[in-house]
Amino acid sequence: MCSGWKHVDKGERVHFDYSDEELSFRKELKGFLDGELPVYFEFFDLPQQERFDRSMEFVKKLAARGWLTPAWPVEYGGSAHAPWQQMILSEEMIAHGEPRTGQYMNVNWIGPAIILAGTPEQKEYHLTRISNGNVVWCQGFSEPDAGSDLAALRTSAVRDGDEYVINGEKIWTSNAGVAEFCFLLARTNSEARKQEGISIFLVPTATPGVEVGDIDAVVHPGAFHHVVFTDVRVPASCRLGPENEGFTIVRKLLANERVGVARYHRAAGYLDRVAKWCDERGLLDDSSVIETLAHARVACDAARVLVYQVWDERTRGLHPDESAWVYRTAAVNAERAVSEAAFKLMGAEALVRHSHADNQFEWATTAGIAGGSYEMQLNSLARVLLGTKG
Amino acid sequence: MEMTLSPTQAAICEACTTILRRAAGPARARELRAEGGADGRLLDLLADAGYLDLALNAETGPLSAALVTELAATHLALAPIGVRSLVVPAVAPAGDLPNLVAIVDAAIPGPVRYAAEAEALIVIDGHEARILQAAEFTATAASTLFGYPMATVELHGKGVDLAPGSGDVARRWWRVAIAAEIAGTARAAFDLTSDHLIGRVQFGKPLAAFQAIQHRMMETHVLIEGARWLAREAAFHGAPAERAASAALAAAEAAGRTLFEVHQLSGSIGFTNEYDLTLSSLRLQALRVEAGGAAGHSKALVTGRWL
Amino acid sequence: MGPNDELAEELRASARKALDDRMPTTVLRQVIDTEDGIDRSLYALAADLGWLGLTLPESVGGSGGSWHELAVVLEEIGRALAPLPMIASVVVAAGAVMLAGDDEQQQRLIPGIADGSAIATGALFGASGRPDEPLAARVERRDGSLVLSGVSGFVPDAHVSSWMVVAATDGAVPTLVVVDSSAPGVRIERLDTTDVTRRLAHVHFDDVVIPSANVLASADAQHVIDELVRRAGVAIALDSVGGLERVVEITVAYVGEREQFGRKVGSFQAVKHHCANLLVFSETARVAGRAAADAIDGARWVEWAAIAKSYSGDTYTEATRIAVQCFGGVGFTWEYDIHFYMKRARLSQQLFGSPTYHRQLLTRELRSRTAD
Repeated sequence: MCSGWKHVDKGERVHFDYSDEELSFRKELKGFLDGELPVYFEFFDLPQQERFDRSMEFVKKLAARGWLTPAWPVEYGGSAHAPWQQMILSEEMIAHGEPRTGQYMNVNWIGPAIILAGTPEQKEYHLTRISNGNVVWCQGFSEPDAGSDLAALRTSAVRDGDEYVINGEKIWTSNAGVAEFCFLLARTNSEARKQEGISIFLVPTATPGVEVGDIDAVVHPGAFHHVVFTDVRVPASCRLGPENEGFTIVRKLLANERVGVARYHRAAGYLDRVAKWCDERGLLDDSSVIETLAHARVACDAARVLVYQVWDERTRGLHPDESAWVYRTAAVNAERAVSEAAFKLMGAEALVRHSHADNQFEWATTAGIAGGSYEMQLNSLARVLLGTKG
Repeated sequence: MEMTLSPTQAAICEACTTILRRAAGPARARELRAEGGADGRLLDLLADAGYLDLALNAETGPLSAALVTELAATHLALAPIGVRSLVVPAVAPAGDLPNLVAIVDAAIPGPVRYAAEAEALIVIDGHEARILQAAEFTATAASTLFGYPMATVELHGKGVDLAPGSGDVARRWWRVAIAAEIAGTARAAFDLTSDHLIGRVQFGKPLAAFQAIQHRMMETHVLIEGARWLAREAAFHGAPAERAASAALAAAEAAGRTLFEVHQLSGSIGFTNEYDLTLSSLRLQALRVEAGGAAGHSKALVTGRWL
Repeated sequence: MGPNDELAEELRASARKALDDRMPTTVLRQVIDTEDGIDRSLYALAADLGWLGLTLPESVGGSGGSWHELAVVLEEIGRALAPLPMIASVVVAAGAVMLAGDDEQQQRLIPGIADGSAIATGALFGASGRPDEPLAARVERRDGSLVLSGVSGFVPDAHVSSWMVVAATDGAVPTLVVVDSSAPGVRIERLDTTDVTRRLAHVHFDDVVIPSANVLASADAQHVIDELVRRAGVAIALDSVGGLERVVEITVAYVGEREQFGRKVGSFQAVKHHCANLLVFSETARVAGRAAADAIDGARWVEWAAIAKSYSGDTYTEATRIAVQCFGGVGFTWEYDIHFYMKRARLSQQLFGSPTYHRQLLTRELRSRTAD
């Protein structure tokens, strides 16, 4: 039997094999998750309080196994695993309904931001809690008039002796209802150019003057909040990094936020279920069904192989920009293609609330907006590849 | 996992680039367009330097062969490099075939790339494949717009049967070869168009400064990059059916989008013969329908993944 | 503009005024939170304004008008997202009885539809609500009476209906029967679906006895079902035309107000192109929808119906996707209206046959024509 050949050399080169260590990590992780969670479990389908309670309980188990912050340096509660292990973690988590819920942000970029710019006291306090899985954070970035144009934010932090006084409003803050801390961007210099007067504050949400409200959203109901800050006083020690240099820190770490959760992997999982649905109805020999499924699958595959560039750069200690923009664009394509395939193939059944197709529709609709809009990724890419502004 | 070229891979690409700069490129492509036929000279140059036999070499492997295929396409090489360096080693590893080999699937009608020039023809017939020597088939040149010499083929001889199952193997590697060729060809068309958009001023600013143009170019870029890395990945893993089909479909979709966008954004100069765009762009149209095109790749992908 | 169009424009002005007054989205938001999700007083007004009987013959309480006028009303309903069970009741249920019923059945059932005292619907498909799947309801003769059992999926407005036309298999062939929605054995399972402006249900039949007077006497029920799919499809296409028009308006207005990077979002070229594409979708869908309405019963009716339904289904969903992208985050909030359109588009795309299904019909029609 002719089987062609397969190259087996695994030297240092472009190669697409996971190491034995990575493979056994995935196997062990998957075994653990399969045991803990039912098939196709979705944390996002749970009511908010239950989601929070179950997630807290679950994340502690992860932390106990060293799987919450495996890629962090050992001195900050990590195991210094290679970034690829973090990618595997990210894929397996989302394949099991993302049981970390909001805490994935802590791991992906809030913790790394503190590692990058925190004082020894901040590191000691926050990183320990994050790596133990004991704390939920929310992200205070967007404002009503500062969405894509993040640097236009107006929330102010005015120095008053040893304190800052914060006033303003943040929107789209996921998990604000249950978060203990807010990673807040605020303006500390209103005279400077708009990117240059911004600082980061690590604000306890229990501070007087912080008020959280729900955004009445039609997708992921209960997931989004707005947070109003009225004369909120925090000690100057809550500031992360130098005054007015918050944007530089955030920009470095936004690449991690852009990669976010392994969206392509969840979308591919949904598509497998759509294909199964079609197969059960004997539709897999229809050419239009075949082309619809294949088109969506390729979109997921492309996003997967493009995220490798991002992880590769991270492995080499870089902060990926261009590759992250390319990946984000491809991931949005994947989310949309799977959603479209589900609707096209499943018809009215795709409309039933909380069906897989309906869930995928919500992800697809928010994918191109949350965490930096699709158009912003294209703008940034064009700036690099075509040398243009804007 | 490692996405950066190793020193060996980088050296191969660099040395190949040197040959391709000298022996391929737009000027040579124009020459061949006028003369007709395939670039046998380039094929021999690359073969003599060993760049067509990387797949079977333990130091390099099929990924390197895919890199060379992609690179040659970027330099507008007009020769069946993908077939020679990716398909032939998989089905006829003894190395007794000529360099200029064409490939056809008996179930797919229509003209065949390089059939008139080929010294041997791989014929895929269901799960099986065989090789016909030049005397065993007639190729009648077909007139097409799409950048490659093409010919309709009539088979006379039976040829030599390849190992059982070679039809499936050939089809899988053919898809990887097409994906790599599209990735390289689309990149050439994209880069030329980028230069045009940066240099061409309209309404007082470069075309590249218009947001609508930027977005369309960047969406195209993302599709090409996806196809490129899927092709490399499929080659690395030995062209398993699902991955090969995924790479080929990603490439066919990228080819369609690239062809449309580069011409739309280049304006009327894009269609003129004095300009280089058609040297790459029109080839995309031939490549995206080869081996069954999107419909064929889709079927292979769905079968490989879900059936 | 012919006399026909002047009439239509008058009708449009009055319909728009009525719906602006009675069903602004502030009111819509209240209605969709009610148990049944429809506004019965608005439905009564629709009857008073003659919308319900517009295309029904005078002999059964209608005004004998044409689809040209009905099209205007359907467009305005789609524009306003009005939760009115008009397509189910007038186009499908009354349509079925007019096409397949005898005189007695028409006299008994249609006047109530025309005056709005009754709401009816059609349960014409199998469990998935698709016209291209086998029926899952069947009738059998037992002890001299006809008994209906099985299920009909994704039936619009079944929860507010007093009767429904059900397609069921009778042996190997389909048949149409009228079923009292409150008859013993009828169970209406309400569904929670994406589109909050319309309600769907699975209707289960558990040995429902069908009086012989309720069997619609048609020689070829499949033919009638096909025709109802076309009519309902065109009605939905017209609803989509109205929706598309409004989507363009509110999106252009929003991007003309919202500022980012110190300028109106609408001044970015990518956004301008989005808006231009929306307008192209809206205008072309309107041409197809109105052409179909005017083609009813004509030589090219089958062709136009398939074009209108498939084209509007794809353009309405794509347009609302682009629109939501233009709105950004606020597009997901209840505060803005755009999401209602996005979801209505999704349901409209699938109800009474997907775009793919209607394109298949179109292909079949074009092929049969070349064969002639």
